Amino acid sequence: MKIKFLIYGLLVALLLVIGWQFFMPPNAKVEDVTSPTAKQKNESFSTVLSNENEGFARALSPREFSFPSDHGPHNDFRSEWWYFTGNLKDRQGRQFGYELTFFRFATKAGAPDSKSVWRSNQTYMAHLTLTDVQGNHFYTDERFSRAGNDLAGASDKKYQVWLYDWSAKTQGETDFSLRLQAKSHDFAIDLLLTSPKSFVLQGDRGLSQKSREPGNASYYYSYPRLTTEGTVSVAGKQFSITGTSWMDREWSTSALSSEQSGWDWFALQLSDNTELMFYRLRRKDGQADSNSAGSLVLADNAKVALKDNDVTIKILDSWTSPHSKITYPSRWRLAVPSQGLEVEVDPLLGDQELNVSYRYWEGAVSVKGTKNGQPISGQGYVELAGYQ
Amino acid sequence: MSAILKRSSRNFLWQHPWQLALAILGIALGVAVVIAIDLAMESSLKSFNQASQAMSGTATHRIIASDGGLDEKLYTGLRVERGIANLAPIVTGYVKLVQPGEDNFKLIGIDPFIEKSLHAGWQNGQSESFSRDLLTRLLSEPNSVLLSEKTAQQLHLQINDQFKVITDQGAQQLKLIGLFSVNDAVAEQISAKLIITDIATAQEVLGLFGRLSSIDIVIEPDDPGTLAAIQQSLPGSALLVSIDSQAESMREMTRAFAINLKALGLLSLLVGMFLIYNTMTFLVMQRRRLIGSLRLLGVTRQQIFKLVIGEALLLALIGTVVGILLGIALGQGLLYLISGTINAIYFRIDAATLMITPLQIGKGVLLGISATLLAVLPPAYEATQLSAVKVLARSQLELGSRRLIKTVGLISMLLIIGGLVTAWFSGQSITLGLASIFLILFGFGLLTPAITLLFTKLFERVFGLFLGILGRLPARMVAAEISRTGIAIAALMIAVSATIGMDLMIGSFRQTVAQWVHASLPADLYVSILGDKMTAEKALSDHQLKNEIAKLAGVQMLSSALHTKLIADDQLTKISVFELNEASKQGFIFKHQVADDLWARFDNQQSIIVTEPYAYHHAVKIGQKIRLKTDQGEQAFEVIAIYADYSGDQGHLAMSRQNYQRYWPDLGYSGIGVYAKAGTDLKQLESRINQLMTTQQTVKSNQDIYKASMEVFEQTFTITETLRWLSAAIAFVGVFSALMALQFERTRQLGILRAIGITSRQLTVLIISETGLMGLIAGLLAIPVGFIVAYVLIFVVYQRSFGWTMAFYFDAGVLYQGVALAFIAALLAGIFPAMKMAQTHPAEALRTE
Repeated sequence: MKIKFLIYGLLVALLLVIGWQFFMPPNAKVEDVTSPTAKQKNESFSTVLSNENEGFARALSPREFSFPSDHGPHNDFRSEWWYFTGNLKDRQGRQFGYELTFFRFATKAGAPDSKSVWRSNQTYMAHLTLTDVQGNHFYTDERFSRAGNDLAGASDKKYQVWLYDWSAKTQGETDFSLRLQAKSHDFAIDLLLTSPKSFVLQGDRGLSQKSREPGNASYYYSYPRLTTEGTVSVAGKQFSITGTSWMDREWSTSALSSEQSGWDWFALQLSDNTELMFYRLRRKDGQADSNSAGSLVLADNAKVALKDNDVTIKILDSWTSPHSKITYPSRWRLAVPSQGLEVEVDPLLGDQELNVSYRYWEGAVSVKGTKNGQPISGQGYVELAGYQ
Repeated sequence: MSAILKRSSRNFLWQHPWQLALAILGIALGVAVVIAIDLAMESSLKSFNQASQAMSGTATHRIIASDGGLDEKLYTGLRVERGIANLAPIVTGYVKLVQPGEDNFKLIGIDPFIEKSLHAGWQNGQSESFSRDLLTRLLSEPNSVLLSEKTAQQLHLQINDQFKVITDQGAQQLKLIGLFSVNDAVAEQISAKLIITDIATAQEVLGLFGRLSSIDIVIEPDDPGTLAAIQQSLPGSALLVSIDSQAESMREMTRAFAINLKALGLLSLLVGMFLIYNTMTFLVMQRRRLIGSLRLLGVTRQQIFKLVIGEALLLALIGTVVGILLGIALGQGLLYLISGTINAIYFRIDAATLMITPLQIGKGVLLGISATLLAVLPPAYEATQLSAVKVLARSQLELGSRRLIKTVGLISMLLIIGGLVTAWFSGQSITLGLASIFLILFGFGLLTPAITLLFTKLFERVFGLFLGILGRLPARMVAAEISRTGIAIAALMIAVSATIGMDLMIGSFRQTVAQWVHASLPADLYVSILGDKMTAEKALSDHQLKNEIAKLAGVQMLSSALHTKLIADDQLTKISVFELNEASKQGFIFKHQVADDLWARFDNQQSIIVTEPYAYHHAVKIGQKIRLKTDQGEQAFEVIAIYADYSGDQGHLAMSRQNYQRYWPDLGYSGIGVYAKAGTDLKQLESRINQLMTTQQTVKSNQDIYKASMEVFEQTFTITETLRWLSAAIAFVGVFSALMALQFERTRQLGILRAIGITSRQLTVLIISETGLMGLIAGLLAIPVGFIVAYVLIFVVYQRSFGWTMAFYFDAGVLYQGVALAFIAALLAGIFPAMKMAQTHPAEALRTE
């Protein structure tokens, strides 16, 4: 009997040795470290924009703008962006919205001293989105790179900003027309932007104060109406489109104060060839922030500055993201009584939330309402940042 | 009935624990060696693959380059202009830790902002703190690095601690800013000697400005466009390889080495099989009476057969399990030897871990059990042949075996001839070459009993002349029990002849290599220049050094060599770039007649010379053209000579510096040969040159180089030596057990001898001379067989495995050693039973049967 047990025992031992190998978990991969945690995602730009600022220049007073060099980077400031959004339509009327944004963040003030071209204090981030209204789908992608080794950067000789192969580049000697090219795995844009209307300096001659403290401001100019044509590709299909884009350029070292939690930003192009830009800053305590501001650009390019109390915004609806569970406002009645303007702003899609490293909602909207009793319509983009 | 049978079997086995233990040991050792070699070899290769995979993550392809590295603008071109995604630029190099232990660490410079989908090693970490912020810090803080948690612990480093490393650029201060954790033992081992940092820091610390070591890429299988786009933008010095094919080529490179090792493992198993055979035969013979009685009781032949096979299976199972455990332990030891050898001659393995797979265990189980069953078939069959009536006397059996020996003699001749024919026709196949050795060994093993009978007749006559009956007795005893003694002698013979064969082969090889090294060191002093060839200033400083040496008093002339890689046939191929003078040209041993204008053509025409292994592996003939990739497209170089070289088994190319500089970037030198004027004090010159050197440069006399080369040679054969001794040890155990069993079985016989007046001293002498005689016979037989084995090894297996030809050097010492080994092993095996028998009372001995 003993031998029998011995045999069985050995067989079991042998099986265990073999089996143990099979049941060992494979070299399991853990979660991506570069993908931030939920908490990190919810830190809005406000955190980034209110970090330590030693050694950086501040936006203290209005300055002289000069082009094309001001289309280029301002590395003395902590952060900067080149912001393109637009509403597009193909010949059959199929609607698309897009966003292509290049962000520059300086990790440190000053230029590094190194023989390695990879050593750089400038980091670029880019976001690309496409809103396919008919397909009811919102496409997003993001990229990061250092400016080193020419992997990303911007030129001060001509309008050119790029991150890898995503780029906004002037086509000739003048700043416009500008070609935007960016492709992701399953969607892409290739657009040509021309400028029938000139740029407008926001705030006080381009100095846009964001909170009361001096220096908590940015330099800010916009091209509020850029005629756009080109192609967008979605899931292997290409569409020839035309439409209108908006470009914002802004750089600063610290913009928000610590009490501010985020902003709702409206950029609306109206059918009477006027454009409305308004950002409403939100405070952490829920109060309205008096630094909210904007502008109305008239058909002749004249600018009407808008203060906090010039604009009323009423939230008509809300949308809760199934991805982040965050609730965003989602329909607004926006009125500028001094201009006799009252419009309803309605997202083309509810879900235009960017679930990327910094989470925010940025989406194409349609505009309908009245101006001085006359019906008016339009389109635009709304950005909702800092919601948790 | 079967219960009784089983019980009888069990009772019997329990009464012979020594035999059982030895049989199990035989199986266990055989299996252990096979498993250990398999595990160690596979683990070495896997460690290498996993280490590179852990870093490259899901990458499917890699752009690699020769020693000059890749231009970093290539990466920008791919990313920005061509818009290719999922690329990971990498800068790697080795740094030496100042404290403690001066360990070498691999420094890997990465770009923290590449796509997450690459899943590269550094992207995996469990700790919450290992976040984007940390990666941003890595990127923006110069000299900041990450270490694995365990490594940091071992080095007693906390986050934000600084530590010092030495590189080609001198001492550098690094700062630990984060830890990455790994989740299994293998990854832990791999990450133990790893420093992760940003690519900028890596370039700064290693001085590799402007260069990348490699670019990892993920290319979807359905995306040939990207593949083509990358191919198009590659310069002549870069190569796109798939990760799989890279792993495959590593395996291919070490294939011959692996096969040779595995053959050594099988040799151990073969010797082990003899042991099992021997034990099982003993166990059957011991039960002649029992089996006869069982048959009388109506037990069928099948039942007897089953009984024996069942016993063997049990032994096989225990032996295999013990063998596997032993093999794993042994494998751990062999791993360092094997990975050390791979490091020395093939490629660098940073950390080898023993990795055990079910497949390998399964292989061991299968081998152990089938080898046992094979070995036990003859005795099992024999057991069924025991007739119930005859309950045979031993004489009957021996008569039978003598008849059998004749048949076996025929078979063995066939095996030997088959082996020789196989060797002759084995062509390029290493496996066939080794198989021929096994056939020859096995054939001679089978022939051994027959030859033993001849020998014993001779010995009987010779000793009988001088010593009378007692002198005849040992030889007669051997002959009388040839069924048992023959097998023991055969096992010993096989082990010893394999030892002799390998000794002769290694000796011949050593001699050949020594002559070659000697001939290829014509200069008086050699300056060797280490350091990364990617560093920008290296070429410049090398040239400076050479100019300064040339100016020294006492220096007559210089030669130089650069060892690097070029791309031939879409493979990085080693090449030596020579600047030769009249003396250094004498350092080449050509494998054929060469024309007088060879060197003129070498310097002035677009030509190359190739080493013997290269010519063998690539079937290159003189006059053939080899196409090499350059920035100006492929260029054809005519092969004008084949020369001897034993520095590696893959072989390499050689070209003149003029030829090289026409197409490829200057990477400085790997070595400079210094030829002194007659009458110069070499010691003085050496110290003067030494004053010109940096830490990356050393100067050595040709004597020192010779010594160092031979040390490397010995090191590469450590593993072979070790395995050879293992199989000899198994053979020893085999002989020991066989002889002991034999003597114990003969208790009664010896008792009679004692009873008829032989003193216990005489008996001791008798037993020891019998075993000694067996050892002597085995040793003598092993000489010619060892010669044949050596011959096949040198002219068939090694030439085919590695492409080296070598001269056969005969070393008589090896033969003496072989015979002595066999003789002493057998003598020793006789001592214990002799002592025991001497102490036994004759009456008791007669009774205990």
